[in-house]
Amino acid sequence: MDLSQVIPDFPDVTQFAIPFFILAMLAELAYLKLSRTGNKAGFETRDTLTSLLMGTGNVVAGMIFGVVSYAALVWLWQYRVFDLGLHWWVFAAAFLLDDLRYYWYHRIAHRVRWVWAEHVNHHSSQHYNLSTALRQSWTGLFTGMFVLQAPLVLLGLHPAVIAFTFGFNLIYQFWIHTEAIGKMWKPVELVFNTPSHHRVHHATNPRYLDANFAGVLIIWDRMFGTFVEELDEDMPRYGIVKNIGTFNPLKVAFHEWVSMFRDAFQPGLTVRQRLGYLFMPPGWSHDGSRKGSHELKADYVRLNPEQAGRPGLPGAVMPDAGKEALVPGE
Amino acid sequence: MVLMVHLTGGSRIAEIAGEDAAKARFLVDYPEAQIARVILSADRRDAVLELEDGHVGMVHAVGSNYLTRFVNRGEMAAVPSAGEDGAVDLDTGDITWPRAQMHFADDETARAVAGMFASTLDQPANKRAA
Repeated sequence: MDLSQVIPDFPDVTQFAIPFFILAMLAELAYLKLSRTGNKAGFETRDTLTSLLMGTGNVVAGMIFGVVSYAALVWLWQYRVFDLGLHWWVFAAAFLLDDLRYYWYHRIAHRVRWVWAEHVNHHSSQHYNLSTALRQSWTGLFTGMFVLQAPLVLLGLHPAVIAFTFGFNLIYQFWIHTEAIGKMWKPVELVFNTPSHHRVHHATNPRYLDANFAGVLIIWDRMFGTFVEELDEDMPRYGIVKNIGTFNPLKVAFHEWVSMFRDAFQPGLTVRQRLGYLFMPPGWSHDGSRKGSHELKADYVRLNPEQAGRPGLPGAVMPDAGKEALVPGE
Repeated sequence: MVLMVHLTGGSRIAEIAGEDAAKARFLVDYPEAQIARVILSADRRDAVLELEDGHVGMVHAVGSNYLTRFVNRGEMAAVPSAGEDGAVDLDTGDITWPRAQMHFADDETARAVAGMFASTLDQPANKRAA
């Protein structure tokens, strides 16, 4: 059986989920209004429109540019080590391994500005609702991060199988973008990514920065030391550390690319410094004038020493550590 | 969906309740800032904060939320508007919020605000926060 002829007929399951997405957003809006949850970020007209347009643009960009990455992975499949066939366990393994792959992609997206430039738009809303889930990147394929799927393909997982199972991963990630659901049953919170865990990921509170990168299984964060629990006494504030002042989808999609290249091509820098602006973590600067997540966490501990060493925060810091830098970075 | 959000009050624009609210919002993002003075715009969509170290802070309403900026003197260009009493035209150099017109109570306040953005700090301080 030639799998490359059979497998590409798999449907894109995310398209089947679109009616559910719309109904769920309406239900969430109704719930938030009827329950008068004034302390929640809720919905905003222009923010919601921007998120929906970003989602639409993501689908269009995927259709146009996805061909390139998919073709590259299909080409690579001829060099696979194993012929795994189409057993049920192959799909289960693909889902599991691709969720691990997603964890690392996501962690890199927050720690390497080149990838943050495409991912930042997903975090650019100061709201946190189901429409935020659809605020997706238009430029993801430019970063080349699809290479993280190469090991899975070489293992014998056809790119179509990976794409098919990742569709379920994306659908799963939709429903966790909500404030309408509090903490869930403990075993669920222990194993799966939940609204509570993902609220932490979208928060700009210092303790929550660079935490909870999981797609479906939160076990990856627990295994690799990036898990932080949502605390009632430190409710998430959403957005990015330097919030944007636009609802224009074009600016949302490209603002960080523009800022990054402006930084990298400013006069008077060494090559190493220019590369630093492209590949070091967001907030890095050649002269130490900006603050990244580590500096913001250190600042928080310096101001709140009783919080030192708690999840998401460093141990005790020197009294003057980080005071020279003045402003949060991108 | 967007229409439903609008019809249920989703198009409300944020207003800064007062000087204390402006300070509180700014301190969320810059907890170590020492705020000397707050000037609220007449429409309560902007607050300009004079900081003890000579820098300028900003709180600006974006939809139903706010953004904040820690500004070096000379980093943004602010001039009293020629066409409108009490207004200040601001050129931020920020791609996501390139220009703004802030509306203050009178021309005197507008001139004072524009002056706060002028490049009068020593060069090392400017360089540090660039």
